[in-house]
Amino acid sequence: MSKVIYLDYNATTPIAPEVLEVMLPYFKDKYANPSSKYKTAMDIAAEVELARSSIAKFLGAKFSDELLFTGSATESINHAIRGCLKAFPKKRHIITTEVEHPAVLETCKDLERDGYRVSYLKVNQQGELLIEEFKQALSPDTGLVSIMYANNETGVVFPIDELSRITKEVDPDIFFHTDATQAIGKRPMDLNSQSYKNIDFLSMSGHKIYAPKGIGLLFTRKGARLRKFITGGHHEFNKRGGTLNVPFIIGMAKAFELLTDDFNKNLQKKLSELRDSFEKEISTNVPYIRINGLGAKRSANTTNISFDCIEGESILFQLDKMGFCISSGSACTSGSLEPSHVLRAMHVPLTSAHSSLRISLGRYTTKEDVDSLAKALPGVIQRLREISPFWDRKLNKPNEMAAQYSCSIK
Amino acid sequence: MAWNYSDKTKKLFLDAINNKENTHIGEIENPDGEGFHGSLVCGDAIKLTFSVKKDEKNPENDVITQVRYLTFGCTSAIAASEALCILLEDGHFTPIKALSLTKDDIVNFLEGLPTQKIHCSIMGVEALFASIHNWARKRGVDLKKFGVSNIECTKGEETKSTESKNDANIICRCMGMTRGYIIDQIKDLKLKTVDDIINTIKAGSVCGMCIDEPGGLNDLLNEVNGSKTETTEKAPQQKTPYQIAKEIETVLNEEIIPILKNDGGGIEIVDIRGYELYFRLKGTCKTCHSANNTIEYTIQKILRDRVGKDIKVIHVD
Repeated sequence: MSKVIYLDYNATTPIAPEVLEVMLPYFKDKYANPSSKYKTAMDIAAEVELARSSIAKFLGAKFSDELLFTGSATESINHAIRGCLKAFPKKRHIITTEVEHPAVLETCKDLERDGYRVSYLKVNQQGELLIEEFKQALSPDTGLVSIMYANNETGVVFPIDELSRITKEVDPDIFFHTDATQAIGKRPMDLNSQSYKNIDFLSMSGHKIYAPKGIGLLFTRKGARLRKFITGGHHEFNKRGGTLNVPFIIGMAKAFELLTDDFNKNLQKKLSELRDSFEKEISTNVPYIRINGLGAKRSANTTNISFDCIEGESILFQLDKMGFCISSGSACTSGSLEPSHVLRAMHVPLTSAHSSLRISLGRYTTKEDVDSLAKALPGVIQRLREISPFWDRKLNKPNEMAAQYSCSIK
Repeated sequence: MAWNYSDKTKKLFLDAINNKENTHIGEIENPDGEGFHGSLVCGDAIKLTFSVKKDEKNPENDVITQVRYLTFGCTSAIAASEALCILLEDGHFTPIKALSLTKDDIVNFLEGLPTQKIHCSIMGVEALFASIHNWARKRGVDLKKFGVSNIECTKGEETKSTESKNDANIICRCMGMTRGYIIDQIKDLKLKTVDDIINTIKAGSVCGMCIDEPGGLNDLLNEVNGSKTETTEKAPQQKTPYQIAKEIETVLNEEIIPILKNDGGGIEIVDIRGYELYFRLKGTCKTCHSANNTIEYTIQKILRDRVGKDIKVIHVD
C-alpha cells in the first residue's frame, strides 16, 4: 500500500510527538506511585497536580480539584450520569438527545431498566435541537440533563450555553452534563465564563486531542455532588479509586498546551476552509449527494456526505485500498446492521443513510490530503453506481426503482 | 470496518470494482431470465440476468451460458454476486439444476463469510430463484413438476415457496419477506431470537412493525422453536401454596402498599388460601367508604397481572 492518508480525526487523533516526548520519562525512571510518601513519589505527585492545574487553566475551571482523571470519556460520562442520579435518588427523570454518543444513550437505556424515565430530544433535518421542545421536557422530577457539545458524526454543535442557562433558570437543582469529547480543542470552552458557568459536569477524552487513548477527564463544578462511581482507594480527592495513570496525565496536559498553539495559529479556520472547499468540489463533481448537517452550526473539521444509490461499506473498502482512512454511517460498518442512529434521527432517508461518509480533519491534515481524496472519490462513487441496480447508467441518475424508496422511512 | 473478509472475498470485490476482465457486472439485454431481490431501504439489493443455450426440443434442457449482475451493497454483497455468477457459468447448469444451489455453495466459494453477512449470500440465491421463475414463465416450463410452486410477491418478484398457501404472506413488509421464507431461514440457520433474525436475514430491521404483531417474527419463532408462552401459562397451576403466598406478599409489599401509603392508607393481610387473598384496610383507607371497591379491584388487577389470573381478592372487616 502506498501512503496512508488519515482523515478520521473524530475517531481518534495521532499522538503528538511533543506529547510522546514528555511522557517517556514516566515510563522509565519516574515510575513511583504518586500516592506514596517518599520524595521521588511526592515529586511526581506534584507534577501531576501541576498538570491538573494547567488543564484547569485551559478549560477555565476555577479550582483544579474540579478535574478528575478517568480512563476514558465513556467512564467520565458513566460517572457523571450515574453518580449524579445516585446522589439525588428522588429525581427519576433524565433529559438527553437522540443523537448522543452510545456512551450516553446506552447508559440512559440502562437506567431506564432501573425505572428511570428518559426524554430523548429530537433533532430537525439539519440536526439541530428545538429549544422549545427542550423547555417542555424539563419537569420537577428531572435530575439531570445530558447533552453533547458537538456531534461525532456530523459535527453539528448544540448551544449548550443556552441550554444550560435555561436549565438553571427553570430549576437550579437540575444538573447539566455535557459530553464535550468532540468539541474540546475545536470549539471555545471557558467554564468560568458567563456563557458556560451553568455547566455542572463535562466529560472528554485525551485521544481526540492528540494525547493517548486510555485517559479521560471529568469536570465537576464545586457544589455539584456526585456519588463515587469507581470505588477504591483515596485517589483523586477520594472521588475515583485507582492508581493515577501518571504518564498519560502528563501527556494530556501537554496536549492541552498544544491546543492553545492551535488556537493561536487559527487551526480551526484553516480546517473549515479545507472542509468547505472539499464539500464544494464534491458537490460540483458528484451528482445526487447530500451533506448531512449543512446549514447547522458545525465543528470546522467534520463533514458527513451521503451518496445516493450506493452502499457506504463498499466505498470505504475501496478507499481503504487506496490508502484513505475514513468512516461511514453505513449499517454494514457497524456491528448491528443498523444505519447510523444520528442520521436516522435527522430523517435522512434510509437510501442515503446507508452510504454516508464521515471525513474529519485535524492538525496534521494538509491541503494535498484533502485534494487527493476529492480527486479519488468521484471515480469510486461513479464505479459503484454503475454496478448498482438503482442507477440509470445512460442518464447518470437514479432510476425509477430508486424513486420508490426516496421517502424517509422511520 | 469490523469485518474480516476472506482473501477470496476481497479479491472478487476488488476485481469487480476495478472492472477487471472476466467479471460479471452488468445487465444482459433481452435476457432469458431476470430476477431481483433486496431493497434500497435495507442497504442491499441485486439484479440478476442470464442467458441460456436453448434446447430446441425440451426447454428443460436449456443450459445457462452467461450471467450478469448489478448489486447495491457492501463488499461481501458484491463479492457474493460475483461468486454466484462464477458458480453458475462454470457449472454449466440447467436452470432446473440451478435451483439446487444454496447459500452454502456461495459461502463456501467465498471461503466463509462473517455471520452477520450471511444474508448477502442468501440474497444472491433469492435473486437466482426469482430469475429462474422468470425463465420458466418465458419458456413455458412448469416448475411445479420439480416441487416448486409459482407464487408472486407484492413487488412482482417471485420467491421459492413451500407447500402451505399462507406461507406466501408478506410478514416483513419493508424487506418483502414472506412467512414461508422466514420460517425456512429460522429452521435453516437455527435462529433463536428476534435479534438473530435481524442480524442474519434482516427481516424486522427497518420499521420493526412485524416483530410483535400477530403472526409476526416472535410468533414465527415460537412456531418453529416451540412456544414459550405455553410454559408460562402452565406454570401457575404448578405453584405450591407457599410460593403463591410468597409472591402475593412480595407484590403487596413492593408495589401496592407503597401506593396506598402515599395517601396515608394501607392494608393488612388476614389470610392467603391458595389463590384467595383476604385483607383488611388500614389508616385513611378504612374510613374512606367509596374507596373500598376501587381498592379491591385495583389490588386484584395488579395481583392477577403479577401472580396469576386466578387470584381473588376478598375484603374483610
